[in-house]
Amino acid sequence: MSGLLDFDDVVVTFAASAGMMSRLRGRTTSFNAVDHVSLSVARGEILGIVGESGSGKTTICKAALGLHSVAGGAVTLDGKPARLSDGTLQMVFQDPLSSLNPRQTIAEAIAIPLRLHGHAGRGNMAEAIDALLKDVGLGAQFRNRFPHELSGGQLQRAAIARALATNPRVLFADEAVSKLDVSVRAQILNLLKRLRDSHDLTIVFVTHDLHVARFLCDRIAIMYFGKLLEFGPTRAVYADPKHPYTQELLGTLDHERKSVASTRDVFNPLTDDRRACRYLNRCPHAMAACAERHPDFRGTGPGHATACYLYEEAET
Amino acid sequence: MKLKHFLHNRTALAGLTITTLFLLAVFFGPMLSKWSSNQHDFMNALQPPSWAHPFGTDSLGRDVITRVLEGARISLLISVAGVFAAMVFGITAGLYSGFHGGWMDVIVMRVVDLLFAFPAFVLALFLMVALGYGVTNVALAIMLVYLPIFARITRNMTETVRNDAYVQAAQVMGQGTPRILFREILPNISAPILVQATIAVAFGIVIESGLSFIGLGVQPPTPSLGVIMADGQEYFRRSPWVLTLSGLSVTVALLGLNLLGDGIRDLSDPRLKVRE
Amino acid sequence: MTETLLEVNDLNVAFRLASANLTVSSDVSFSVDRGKVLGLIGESGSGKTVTSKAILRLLPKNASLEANAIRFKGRDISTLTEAEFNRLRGTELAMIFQDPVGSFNPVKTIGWHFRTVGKLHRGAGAPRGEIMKEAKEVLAKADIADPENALRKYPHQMSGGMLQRCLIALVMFSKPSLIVADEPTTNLDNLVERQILDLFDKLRRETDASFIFITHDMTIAEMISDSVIVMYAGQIVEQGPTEALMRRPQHPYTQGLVRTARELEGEVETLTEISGEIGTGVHPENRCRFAPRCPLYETACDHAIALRPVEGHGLVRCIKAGQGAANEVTP
Repeated sequence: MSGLLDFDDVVVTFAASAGMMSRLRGRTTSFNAVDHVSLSVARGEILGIVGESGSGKTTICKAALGLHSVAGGAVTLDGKPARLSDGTLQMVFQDPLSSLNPRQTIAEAIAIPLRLHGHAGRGNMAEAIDALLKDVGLGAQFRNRFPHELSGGQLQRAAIARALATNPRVLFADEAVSKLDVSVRAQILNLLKRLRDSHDLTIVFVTHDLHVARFLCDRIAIMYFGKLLEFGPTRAVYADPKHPYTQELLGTLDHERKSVASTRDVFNPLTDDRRACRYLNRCPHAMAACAERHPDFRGTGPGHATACYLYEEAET
Repeated sequence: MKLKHFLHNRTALAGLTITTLFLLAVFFGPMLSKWSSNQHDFMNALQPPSWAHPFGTDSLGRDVITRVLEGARISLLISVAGVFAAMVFGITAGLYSGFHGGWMDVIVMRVVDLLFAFPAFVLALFLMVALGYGVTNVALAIMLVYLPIFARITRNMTETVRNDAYVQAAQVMGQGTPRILFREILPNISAPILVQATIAVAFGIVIESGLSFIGLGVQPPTPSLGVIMADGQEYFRRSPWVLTLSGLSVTVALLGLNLLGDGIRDLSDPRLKVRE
Repeated sequence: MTETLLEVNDLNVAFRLASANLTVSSDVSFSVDRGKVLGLIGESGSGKTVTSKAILRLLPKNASLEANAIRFKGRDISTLTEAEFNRLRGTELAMIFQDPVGSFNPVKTIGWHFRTVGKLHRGAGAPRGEIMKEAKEVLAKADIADPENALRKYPHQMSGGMLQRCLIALVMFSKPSLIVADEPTTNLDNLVERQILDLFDKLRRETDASFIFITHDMTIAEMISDSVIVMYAGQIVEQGPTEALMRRPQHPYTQGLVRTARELEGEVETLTEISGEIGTGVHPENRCRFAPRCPLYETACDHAIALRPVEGHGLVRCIKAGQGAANEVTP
């Protein structure tokens, strides 16, 4: 595995808040929000990580960025562990308003990383800021404005400009358009695509919005309660989803098809068996093997693999 | 907080006015007076208010108003010194504690709890007994009384904003922890801390006065409100103006500072922040 | 035989602020027929939530509401007293909010909520057994697997989807004639969202309740509503039957929204953008509010534009409406 960014058997553990009594009784109080995930991101691609709440999609990005500690495995950039002080990894957050310091002007917010990473000094600071603003489609008049004076789309552009200030190689975008008005989403999505080309960026885009993922991403990875269930080229996965969960997820796009109101609960990280397949409770094709061990990945097409016993294990 | 909003808020305006007048009086008053605060005049001891002495004289013939103003200044400075030190240490402890959590947080907060367990004056007294009397020790005592409060406020506020996206963005950018704490977080949590500071200075004056009153603080003849009140208390029956005036100045200081604090708190109410 | 259940005429909503009066919704007129679903589409600042809350009198104290008439089942309810209106609200008129958690008392069980509503509407002497039996029935209709168990649970013990189902059941329990649902699926995960939408669909077919379904999602509106209103900056810019509106939207804003939705459903390299963003602040009275973002803008748009009927579509607030092929958006 050697992409630009590699997730190698990453494990991130969360402690569930439980009282002392249940701990004494031996109830598990921690669970793996990211459970042995290996994924490779190729240079210049836009990889989508798709999942619902609790899937671990945001956690794995934060782990890469050092905002969560990694309990097992490693995240490497070009084979070496990435350091935050490098500025090589950056992030754009879901709520653009809270991702900017309310007391800093846009210019200040952008100047800080520029200065910190030595990309601009006192002499050329103003030009550097203006150049970044221009890259994201904001005019110079935004320099001295405060976050509360900007609209959602403008804020997200400013946040992207700030992220670009450290010359990152990989940009993580966590639901970057979910809080924006629909009429503004297209602007930001197009912008991200353009920046990928103009700034030689690799983008990891986390979302639960299947349409957005299809438009933006070259490859897609489906996560469910900490496990990676399927990944592959976007077109292939959408056209022919292999994992039953992916099928159910993509099925929501089809308005003719009625949803199956399953009475069975989703996976409970604290009580259900973690060795079994995560999707066991809801899977219509569950077999005996599924209850014993979570399946390994098996290839189902070029670059397309899934962790499901329904498919033959190939010798890849 | 915009200055415009500040001036429209009546509480804040009142507080600011009173406090400013108080400050002007205590800093410039003694200079303008023709009397010195230590000028004895036994012939004219315990005189009632007159043109020469607007608030009369005390038991040693000293001009009351000059003495009170200078005393107020000294009390104020001692309180400010103590509160300032409390802020420096308390805020720093609170920031680190709230940001890192874990063992550091547990230890710091238990120390804070320990200090909180004592009523302010008892703690101050204990310190004076342990360290001996004197101006520096009074300031130290005030610092110890208020350090836990600043630590706790700061730590709680830091915990609330710690997971805000802009803090995470600062981390992702590679900013070092001290920078994040003091340049990103602190400015955004400053309002309740400032409010607390005004209250702390106000009651710091009370603590100082109390300690000096019982002889453990500022030593006479140096005036401080407590020293003057001790004086005035002895001769209260015959000449109530000494005690009255010194007590009154404590009241004025407290009122001004409290209103100022209230005003700051009102203004930082997030509901008032309208998105233009 | 379609009967008009709700008719709103010339609704204007404004907020009294310290500095001035801010009009957030103006000239809103529409009607909802019995058993039909009206989709109310809009983004931030459109006035969609304010309009619906105005009908249910759920606006804050500093809001002022003016309307020519708001007729419910033929009666003008805008002139009712608080007490009279309260009898309607909760029984005939109901609202489902975006976040179900806020609609339940966190320290009471689901069963308690049903009992409270039951006693409120059927009188304090209503037999408890009957109330609970009906509660279980309506919970089952809302696709709750084990109604008996659900009644014993507290809100925090349920997932978002389940809680939303309970809320819907609770609302249906009073058998209202008109239900306003404000973005009820926005916070839900994909699978659950789909289930809830299907539930709404089922309810609309099985009861003859009418719905006003507020959303920002064109696709959802298309799936669930019979007719649609599109709001922008406090005004209705287009309204009409869903199919016609989605197939051939007339207003440039609607066209933009539909186009984005279609492009995201299909496969394109670049999305067509609607330029700019809704401005913050007061909107101009005497010109088209969408003008700063409109690709079809011309100087003729700089005066107040009224809603006009367009053949086969409904009402549109645009001088270019009904002018041919430029308005076709491929489905």
